This record gives sequence, structure tokens and C-alpha cells, in this order.
Amino acid sequence: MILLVAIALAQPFRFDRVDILAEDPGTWINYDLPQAPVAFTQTAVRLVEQVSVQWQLPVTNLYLGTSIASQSLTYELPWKHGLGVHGGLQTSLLLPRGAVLGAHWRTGRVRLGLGASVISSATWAHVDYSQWHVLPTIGVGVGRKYEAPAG
Amino acid sequence: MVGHRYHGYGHTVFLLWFLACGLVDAEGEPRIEAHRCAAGYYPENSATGCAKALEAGFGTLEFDLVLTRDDVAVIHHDPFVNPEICTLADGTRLGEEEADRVYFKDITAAEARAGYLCGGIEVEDFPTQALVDEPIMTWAELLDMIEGHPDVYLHIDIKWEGDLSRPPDTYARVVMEEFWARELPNDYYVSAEYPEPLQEVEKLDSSVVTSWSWPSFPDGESTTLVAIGHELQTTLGTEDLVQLANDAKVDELNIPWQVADRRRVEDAVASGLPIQLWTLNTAAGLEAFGKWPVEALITDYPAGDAP
Repeated sequence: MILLVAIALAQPFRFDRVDILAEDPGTWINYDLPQAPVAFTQTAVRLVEQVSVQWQLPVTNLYLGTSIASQSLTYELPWKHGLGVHGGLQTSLLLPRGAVLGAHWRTGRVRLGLGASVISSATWAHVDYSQWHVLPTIGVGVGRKYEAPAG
Repeated sequence: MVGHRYHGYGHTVFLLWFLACGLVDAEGEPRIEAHRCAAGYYPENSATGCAKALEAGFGTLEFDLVLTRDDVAVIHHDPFVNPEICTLADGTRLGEEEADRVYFKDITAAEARAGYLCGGIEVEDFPTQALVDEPIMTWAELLDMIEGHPDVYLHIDIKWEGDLSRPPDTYARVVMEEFWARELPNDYYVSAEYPEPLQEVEKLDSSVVTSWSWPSFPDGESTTLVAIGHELQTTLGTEDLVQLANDAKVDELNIPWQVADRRRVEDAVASGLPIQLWTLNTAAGLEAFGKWPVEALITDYPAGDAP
């Protein structure tokens, strides 16, 4: 993780997209959205907290996601027609706390993802990996126009 | 053609996945606590309100205690005589400025009892509340009432607020010794907005269950800003419920629903930290948070008729 971040920091990032609905940590759609009718303000605040700016790193198909709720490093494996699979590590202020896995579809400026967020209870304040959740997640991102890989 | 087929499948998969999200409820069975002796029906912490709450058979009674200058525990929510619900004994309204406040630490129990009447003023938050005009109730009087109700769970909320109150060790000693002297069979736990009096209770008897009302909202500070600060710290992971309870040396946490985060609450509960949520005053809120794995929901409408 540290090595990958170091490599990434050595060269400039390139903006890829903003995930309005991020796959990591993936808790908003599972825990906060169902509470919206009775806790609208918290739901809105936590929506903002999970909005993730995704940066393409100099390593091909490697992305750094940055939001208040999560920071992640994700590798995408393109397949065809804009479809692909991805997996990565999610952190809380760079403390590794889980993983994200899934499939995605890039078309035009939009990226849609379906996956699972595997998330532990670990935080810097309480480094505890005893509690885990596996959550279905959806990602909706808008950003740079998708260009199919050459060849 | 191939693209169209993918597109069709994509919609279906996306929809099914979306429906799968949010199905994480592990139904809880929280106790329902009558906040301030069910302030939705009668004035908060009033003798009539507590008597009616006991008569109604509410399972858990929550009430607040403050200490007077002569170290008598009385039932009141604030460290000062609350001008929003109390008047002078002759009916004159109390000033609402900070400088007008009469703190319990500066008056005796006799002065508090003879000088003021509470519960006779309409409260905007509780339009259907029946009004009473009564002297401030003492802890001893409330214990007299509770004696006939051994099954009622008690939530003893100690309202200690630093320099605005008598010392925390005095609070703990007076409140708990008066309670223990009755040898009541009721189950109970003790909460406070600050850990200090709870730590003093633990020193007297470490088997007492203590619950910290976190976060603290210091007098004069914006509750919204305090809440946002804690929200950010919790989200960033620089603040954690289990760690907060460990640091404060308390057994449980009592959290306002507005700052509660379902996943973090689940993690805390699974780690052995019971949590109560306050104050849920709508039917929809009680139903929604009733699915959380918390120990109790605190409401002013414990009869299940919240608006």
C-alpha cells in the first residue's frame, strides 16, 4: 500500500471522475438511505461525506479514491464494451480497514459499478478488526470520457 | 445488437443490486424509556407526570437529578430553575437571560420547593401536554412513588454541569446513597452528560451500570456545530464509540439519534457496548430506529402514540 502510494505520489495524478455514489465504504446506500424519511439531514450530510473524487494514477488502471468517508486504491481490469472488473483496498485516513470488489461499466462520461464492500470496524481511534460487514454496493460516477483500450 | 442485450441485462442486474442494498436490518428489540417521566403527556420531571407514568405502566422511567446547595437531590433537568417551565411561587415569570438564572447549587431545597412552581407554562414542543403547577419534586418523593412499582426499570440521569453544579463526588454520593438506602428491587442504570459523576458512581460501586450521554453539549456552545464536529471525527475515524466509552470509563453510551451512525452503532454493540438513543418523538422515528440493535429508545411518548 505504502509503496503504491509512493509510486503514485512520484508522478502527477490525473482526474478521472467524481463518484456521486461511491462503492467504498458503501454504507450510505445500505445504512443511511433507508433512514432518509426520518433523518433527512444526516442522510444528506453522509451523502456528501461519501462523494469520492477518483484520480487515475500513473500506474495503468490504478485509481486513488478520496472522500471524507474513505480513501481507496482500486485496480480496474477492463474486459470489453466498457465492461470490466475491479478490486481494491479501502482505508480510513490511510488505515487499511477493508476491500472493495466488483464489476463496472464505463460508457461516455459515466461509470457504473456493482460490487461488494468488505469493511471492518477499524479506525485510528480504535484499531479493532473484530467486526466485519459485507455490503452490496452501487457506484455512480461522472468524469472524463471513456476511451476504449487500444488493440 | 450485443450492446443492446448487455444494456437490457444491465438494467435488471443494477435494479436487483439496488434492491439488495438497505436490506441489512438485524431487527433490534429496544426498551422504550419514558423521557423525563413521559413529558409528552405531563410537564417534564413533574410529580404528576411521574405518578401518571408509573400508573400507566411504562416499562422504563427516565428522570433528571440536580443537587441543591444543602445537598438535597431534586428532580429537574437543568442546573438552574428552568424559566421555560417554572415561575416564582406567586406566578411571576422568571427572566430568561443568563444573568437571571437561579442555580440549584446556590439555593437550598427548601427555597427551591417554596420559591417556584413548575409545569404550568405551555411548552411549544408538547402542545397536547396537560399543565400542572407544582413545587419541584425531591428525589425522596420520587423514590416514595417508585416503591410500589418494583418492575419499573429506572434510568437515573445525573445533571452535573461542571462549575454550574455541586461537585461530582457529592452528586454521586447523595444520589446513590439515597437510592440504595431504600433497597428497592428495581433494575436501573445511571447516566450523565459528563463522565465525572459516573466515574464517582463507579468508585462507590463498580457494579452499577453507567451510561455517558455523548456527545456533551457545553452550555453556550452551538449544538449544531458540536454535532457536526463529532460527525466529521466519527466519519474520519479519529473518534470511535468504543474508544470513547473506554476513555470515559463507562459501561454504555447514550446517544442523540441525530448523530448516531447505524454501522458504527452495530459495531459498538457487537463489541459489547450497549447503546441507548434519545429522544425519538415521532412514530416514524421510533419505528425506523426500533430496527437498530440498540438497548433502548428514549421518547416523550412511550405509549406508542407519538405524532
